[in-house]
Amino acid sequence: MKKSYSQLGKGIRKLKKHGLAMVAFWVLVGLYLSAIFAGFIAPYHYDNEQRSLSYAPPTKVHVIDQAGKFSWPFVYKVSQKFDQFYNRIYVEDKTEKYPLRFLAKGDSYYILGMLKANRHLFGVDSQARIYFWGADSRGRDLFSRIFYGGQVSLSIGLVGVTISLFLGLFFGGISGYFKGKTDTLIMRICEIIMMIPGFYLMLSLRSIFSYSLSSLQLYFVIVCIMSFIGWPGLARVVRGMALSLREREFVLAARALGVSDIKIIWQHIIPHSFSYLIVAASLSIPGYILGESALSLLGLGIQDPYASWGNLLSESMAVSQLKFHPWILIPGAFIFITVMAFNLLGDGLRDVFDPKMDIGRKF
Amino acid sequence: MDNILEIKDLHTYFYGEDLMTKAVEGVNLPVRKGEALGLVGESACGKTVTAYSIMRLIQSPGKIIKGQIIFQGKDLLKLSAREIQAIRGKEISLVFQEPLAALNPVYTIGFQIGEGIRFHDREVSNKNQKEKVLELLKAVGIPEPESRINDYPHNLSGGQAQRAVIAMALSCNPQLLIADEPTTSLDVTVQAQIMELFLKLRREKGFTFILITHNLALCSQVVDRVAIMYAGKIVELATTEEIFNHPLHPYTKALFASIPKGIAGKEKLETIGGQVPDPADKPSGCYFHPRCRLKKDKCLQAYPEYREIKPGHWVSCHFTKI
Repeated sequence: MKKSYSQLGKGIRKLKKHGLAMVAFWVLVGLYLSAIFAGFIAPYHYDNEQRSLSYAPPTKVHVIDQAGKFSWPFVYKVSQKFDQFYNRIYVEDKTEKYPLRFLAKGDSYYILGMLKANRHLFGVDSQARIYFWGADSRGRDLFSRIFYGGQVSLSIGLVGVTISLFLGLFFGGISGYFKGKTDTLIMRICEIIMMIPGFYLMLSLRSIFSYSLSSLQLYFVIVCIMSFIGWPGLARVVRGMALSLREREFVLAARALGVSDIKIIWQHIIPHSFSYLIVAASLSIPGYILGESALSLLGLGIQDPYASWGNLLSESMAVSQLKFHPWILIPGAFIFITVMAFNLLGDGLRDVFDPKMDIGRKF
Repeated sequence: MDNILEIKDLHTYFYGEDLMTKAVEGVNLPVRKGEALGLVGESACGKTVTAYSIMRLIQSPGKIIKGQIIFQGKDLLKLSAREIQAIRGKEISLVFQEPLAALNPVYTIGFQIGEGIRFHDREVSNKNQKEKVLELLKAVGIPEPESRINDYPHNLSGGQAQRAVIAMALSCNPQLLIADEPTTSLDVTVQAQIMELFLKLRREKGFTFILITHNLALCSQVVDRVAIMYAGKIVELATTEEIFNHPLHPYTKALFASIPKGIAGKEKLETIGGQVPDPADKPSGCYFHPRCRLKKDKCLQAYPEYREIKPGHWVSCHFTKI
């Protein structure tokens, strides 16, 4: 039997041949998996602190012991001392080896909020600590906090874009399909929102809400603020598409069949803007991640002890911190990689779904 | 015989920036239950606008100014949006001119044919729906419906797509089917096949049929009565036989004269001089007078009354003799 392929199926097959986008795709898959299994990858709980090890540098993992023999990777216990200039230094106590253990028992955690576990990918006996990427001011493991922070930073983009898309599709679809006064009203509202610079709008919206909210409330407040800022842009584009699609004969044919307006918008207009929306969504996710980071960096977003990439970076706002503890910039690298990956994936999707972009390659 | 549909004094105007287009201007047309009626006229004479007015599909800047469209005792122009929605597709259906444009390229034809069924009969189960769609595809003569049901419109040829569109229009067994130039975009052999399909479907399902076309010859094979439209008005209405044997209006006569006959290339084809008047700027008096051979002063002053010359034969011309 002959098989018919949908537009989407063709697009996915084309995307598979798009090298850079596929790399970006798998990087993102890795990042999201790491956020889901953050508790397992992280050796410590995000709030497990040891103040005597404030700003401990990345722990060295040794493979050659004191006797000069090759051995299973191990770490030494580290303790804080002061040198003659009263600078903090960390010295290794080389008398005892603490071997690296895989699937070690440690702090308990939940996977996806349901599965309770206490095995970690790696760890050391509790007398010593392993700081793979150094420690923060309170001696918490940055490596662990980055993966816990990824749960917030990565999910905010997806949740935010979903809400924005929904609002944008709904209002844009109505606006373009019904035209007239509805259209004017919705579009003027969109323009008013877009007129105010996004960052200041975000700050002023944040100031509407109480400063002391629980972390869950804060998370939703941030998502709502970001979606509120994000939907008008999408709505305008959806409106433009609806305006042109509503004149197509198949919309008239559906109306002649007695299909209701809402169903026509949902079934005949929105699916046609889908390829554009996939691209727009993947290209706008970085904005949400950066917005959350910016709010958290200023201390208006996710609050300590909870981690997000933004508030992890807030410690690095002083130059002196950067000079002495450069590892606290690592969360920035994660933001960079994520944003980059979404942009590359978005570009790839655009190449695949936007037929107008094909022309250049054919000649 | 009962009239299933009666159009009385329908006026549909379009409002442009600074000009008003009188697309339909006082159309009176009774349609009898079970008959097949041809609505014939040149391009831009208001045939499609009449059809869209019946379905209430006229959108801004167009507007139905006045008139009545009585369908089974109800005036369609007075129904609420929800009530007319229940009638569209279920009681009255429309077949479009461009089949490939009337099908949404992102859905399979099976899905689209089922759309009306799902919408008008919410109780229908998936299995019943699929069976109904298969039945429809078979009825409109698409071979191997089981494998074609999941085809996308671009997999179909023009003729097959038109068959799918007809299946879509017939999905809820409407009382009245309006076909708006259903064969214009198809080639000649396929045109004949589609016309035959309409004949067959009418025998099987018995719906009332309005065929909108500019092709008199094609129309004569299918319809019982013919209404000739010119510049937004009906100028002549009679049974097919009557109109072919005794056309009365000079426009109808001119139309018959311009049907090609004889061996191609041997005879010069008759044409009607001049052009259809611009609907935004119609001549005074009889709209046909600039192109009419019988033109007299009277024609420039008054639009001729639309009257019944013989039983069942209506015409609007000052110089009609029986």
